[in-house]
Amino acid sequence: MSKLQVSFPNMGNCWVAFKTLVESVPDIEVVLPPPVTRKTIELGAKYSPEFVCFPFKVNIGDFIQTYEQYGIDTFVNAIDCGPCRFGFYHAVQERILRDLGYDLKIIPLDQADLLNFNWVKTFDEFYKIMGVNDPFKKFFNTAGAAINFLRKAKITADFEKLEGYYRCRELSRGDTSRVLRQALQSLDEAKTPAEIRESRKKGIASFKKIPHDTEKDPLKVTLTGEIHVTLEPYVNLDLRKKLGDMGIEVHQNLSLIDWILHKFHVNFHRKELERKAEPFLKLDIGGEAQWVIGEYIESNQRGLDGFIHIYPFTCMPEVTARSIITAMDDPKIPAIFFSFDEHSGVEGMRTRLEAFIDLMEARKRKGSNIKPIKKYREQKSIIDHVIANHQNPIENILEPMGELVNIASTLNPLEVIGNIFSDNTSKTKPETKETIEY
Amino acid sequence: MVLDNQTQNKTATGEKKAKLNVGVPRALYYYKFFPFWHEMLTRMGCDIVLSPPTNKKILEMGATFSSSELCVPVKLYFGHILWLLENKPNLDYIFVPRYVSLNKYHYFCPKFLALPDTVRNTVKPKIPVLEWEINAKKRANIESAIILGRKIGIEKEEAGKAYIYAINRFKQFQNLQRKGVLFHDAMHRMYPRLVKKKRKMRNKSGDEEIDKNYPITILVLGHPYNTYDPLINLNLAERLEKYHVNVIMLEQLPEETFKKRVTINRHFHNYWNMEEELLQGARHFLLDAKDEIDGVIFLISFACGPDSLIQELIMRDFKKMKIPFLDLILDEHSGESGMVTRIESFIDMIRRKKYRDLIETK
Ligand code: SF4
Ligand code: SF4
Repeated sequence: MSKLQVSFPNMGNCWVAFKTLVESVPDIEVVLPPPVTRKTIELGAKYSPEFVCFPFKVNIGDFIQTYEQYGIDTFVNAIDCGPCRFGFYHAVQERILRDLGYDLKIIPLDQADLLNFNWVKTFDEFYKIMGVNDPFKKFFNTAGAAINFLRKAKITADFEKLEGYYRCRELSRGDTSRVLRQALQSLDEAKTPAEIRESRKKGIASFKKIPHDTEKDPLKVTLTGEIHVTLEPYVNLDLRKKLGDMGIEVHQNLSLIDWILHKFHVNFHRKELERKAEPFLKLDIGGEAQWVIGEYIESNQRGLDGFIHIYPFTCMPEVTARSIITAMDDPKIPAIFFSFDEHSGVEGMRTRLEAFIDLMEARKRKGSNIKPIKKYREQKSIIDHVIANHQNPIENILEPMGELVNIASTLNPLEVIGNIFSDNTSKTKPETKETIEY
Repeated sequence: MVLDNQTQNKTATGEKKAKLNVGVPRALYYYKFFPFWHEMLTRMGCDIVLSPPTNKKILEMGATFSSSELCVPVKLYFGHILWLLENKPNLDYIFVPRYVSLNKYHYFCPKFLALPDTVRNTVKPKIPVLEWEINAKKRANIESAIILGRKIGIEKEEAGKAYIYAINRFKQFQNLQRKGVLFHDAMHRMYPRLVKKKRKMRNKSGDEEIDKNYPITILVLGHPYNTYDPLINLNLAERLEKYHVNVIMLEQLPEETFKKRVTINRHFHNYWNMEEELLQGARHFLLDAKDEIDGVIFLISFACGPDSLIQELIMRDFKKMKIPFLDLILDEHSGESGMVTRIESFIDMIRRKKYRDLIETK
């Protein structure tokens, strides 16, 4: 039997983890979408509703290109039902594309609350397509996939943190990007837990070998915002790289694993951010709004030099976060905001960035930047943080396991098994193109 | 902030206390829930002070104050808040509800979820914000009314009663709407002190006779703060009536229309509150009452998150059923955008199509 080919939209380096997850189903092969380009964005903008948020449009472009170039007709797209638009993406996208004559289907990967185990339904749908019925096989495959997914996502995030540290210090431009690319490649090839551990070790070692300026004390900024534009470099005009090349150390907590652990209710850093943001925004309104506000407060407390918030044009939660941050009382660290859509251009961004950097430099020179609060006075650098974690072999093993234990301890096993064994998809109605579903 | 001086004045014997002046911006869900708020708050011993109907000044204040990436209804909301702060300095509170969910399936738009926070932290009013969180995912609605009561020194029982009373009165109001009384007139009937009668639009249409003899019916879809705020929709309802168009608004549809949940596709249900009603209304006409309407006008605010997707689905379905569909995008420059011309030609097109033979042979 030939393999079923499946694809998903681009989102920066997240493909490594997603690929593992989807390929856990026997006989499924992941075909990565072509990288986002001008063409992708044009196609997306052309066929999407006019003022839907930008990630939607980019996704549409990804689907069309993958379909046309590789003939893939089965896609996975993550969803999160409410309160924001993200949960609706797949339905409207599928509708638009089918109306255009693309005979494809988009299978949602529900991650609204991962402890609901709705995401298991996605696998059920695949197993159904592939004709796998054995519940034990399904269970172990899915569990194994989830573990490898978490590992790879975590390691990707570590690599990205190192990227933020090294790029602004590298002696020959491009080293960091090359090392990152290779590290991800080998992470992707690693299949067993041992291989995955090994590739992490190797990856970190090769980062450490990058010739760099050890004396440098660069400006440090937090970069955060809506997850798709923050993680997908083409969409944010490769802002992370630009910052690094301009000699800025980028601190970015936002990553796929950061989000996923939050959805498993075990992201303690995010809980702390929520507490910090609460006086300004009481609840999660979708997107990253609450955590962006929290991160802004934390960046102040850490005494960083600046804060960069990026989001899709008219993104509801992020615009709210932005207005709240802008209205906060002084003293506060400088913040700059970029919203992206199909019309964003590099030139405008560069000018604003340069002015922002001048501002931060002037503050630093005058010594008028904000001092870290006691708790953060002795902060480890990014690199120490990641490497300490790596050098301690016990922690290295315990860490991914710890996450799982954490997760497992919050579960109700009966519910999990019930969810996995119940045949959720059997209720699926056969589809005809002409029905109006309501 | 929870208790201010006035509420502390309340004596143990329950003597008459001074009434609290509570300001309510005439924007957003004023156009849906005001009767409810009014009944509940007055029962709780408050005096309601409303901002005036949206005018150019308010629009301008709101638009200047807010980020350009916001939808116009939220900009207007800020405009109304600023108006109240400027013109009613002796308010005790500004009432800002936080609609999170009315039942466990639905959310409101993220901007509603954050409303009290944004008002508090961006407008930074001197007058305290009286927040009312309605979050059925977390607690029963009556409980949230009790929490609200506590903030203004109202006993639990009293607050509960006020809530139930308000529910009943609100039903009466909805029934008026279902009988076909448009929002503004229904409001005028119930609250003549707060809502003045509207002046009728003069009929300037050239071909009165034709219009009168060849009536058409149009369904107007959109959020109530767009369909009922005459400034932002350029007086749409009356404009249509002027052309002898029968207007159907969502609020006039029978209760049964809104009973069954909407399924978007094989994977999932809709999860937005207001959009649920829009979809249910659309479903009613798409599946059961196709012949009762001749066309659809959809009012959508520029940068509206939920509608950017929902409108797309609804539009595709009406097109599939060959029912003419017009979407009007509202922003603070609506007036200048040739909207009137678009409405007129849309009506004209429908009328010609419907009475092709009649009009031609005339
Ligand atoms: S968070 Fe922003 S980008 Fe994401 S769905 Fe909501 S509006 Fe769109
Ligand atoms: S539903 Fe749309 S129009 Fe209403 S507040 Fe939200 S974004 Fe604005």
